[in-house]
Amino acid sequence: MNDDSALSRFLKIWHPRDPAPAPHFGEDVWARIERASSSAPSSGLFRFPSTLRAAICWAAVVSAFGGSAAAYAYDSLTRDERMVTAHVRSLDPIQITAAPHTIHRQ
Amino acid sequence: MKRFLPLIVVAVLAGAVAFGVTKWFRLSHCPDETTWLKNEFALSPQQLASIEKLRADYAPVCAAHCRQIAAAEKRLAAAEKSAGISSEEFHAAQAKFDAVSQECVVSTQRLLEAIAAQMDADQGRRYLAMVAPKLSTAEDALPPATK
Repeated sequence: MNDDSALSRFLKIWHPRDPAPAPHFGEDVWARIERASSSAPSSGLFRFPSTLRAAICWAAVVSAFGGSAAAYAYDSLTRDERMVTAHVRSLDPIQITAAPHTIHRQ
Repeated sequence: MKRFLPLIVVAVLAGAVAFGVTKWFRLSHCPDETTWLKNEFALSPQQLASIEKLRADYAPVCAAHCRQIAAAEKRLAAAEKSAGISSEEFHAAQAKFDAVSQECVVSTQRLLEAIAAQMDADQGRRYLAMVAPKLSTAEDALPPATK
């Protein structure tokens, strides 16, 4: 009971303090908006930078894989031809004579 | 279109670099001739040893043929220079050159047949079918001026 009356008396004399107004609040807000809009990318090239970067990474990976597979297939397809040519060239005196830098097997 | 330019450039570069690196790697890890013969024609160690012996025995013959071809070619060039291509001397040199070339072709053919004979029948036929088109003919041996 005692506590209630004390609280009641206190509430009667208590006034909430008004926060002091921030100087130049409105100007600061507009300045921040201005800065943010001037630093945002405006050209079409980097309008969606994260999407474009991801696409470039994927293109590089897919293209590297394709290039590697193409080289592997090309080498596999031409290897026999190259080996047969080298094999005959090492045995055929006419080809050896025609190519003076061929190392002759003694 | 301009937006996709970096994407296209990166894709082309990545593909080209990967192609080059893989090709270089495959070439640098290319098997030597003996390993290729062994794997390609499923040779047993005995067959491979026989083929290696044939090749070793043929090496001095091949070297002699090389010297004969070089000498015949030299004589032919000298006859062409000194007496002209319609001279008796040139015709004699050409006949000698043809004979040497023909002898080399026949000798190499015999070697290839002997190598094929060391393989299993099917592999031997396949070997001859692969190597025969690569073998020179006597016509290939002629110097450009006389062709």
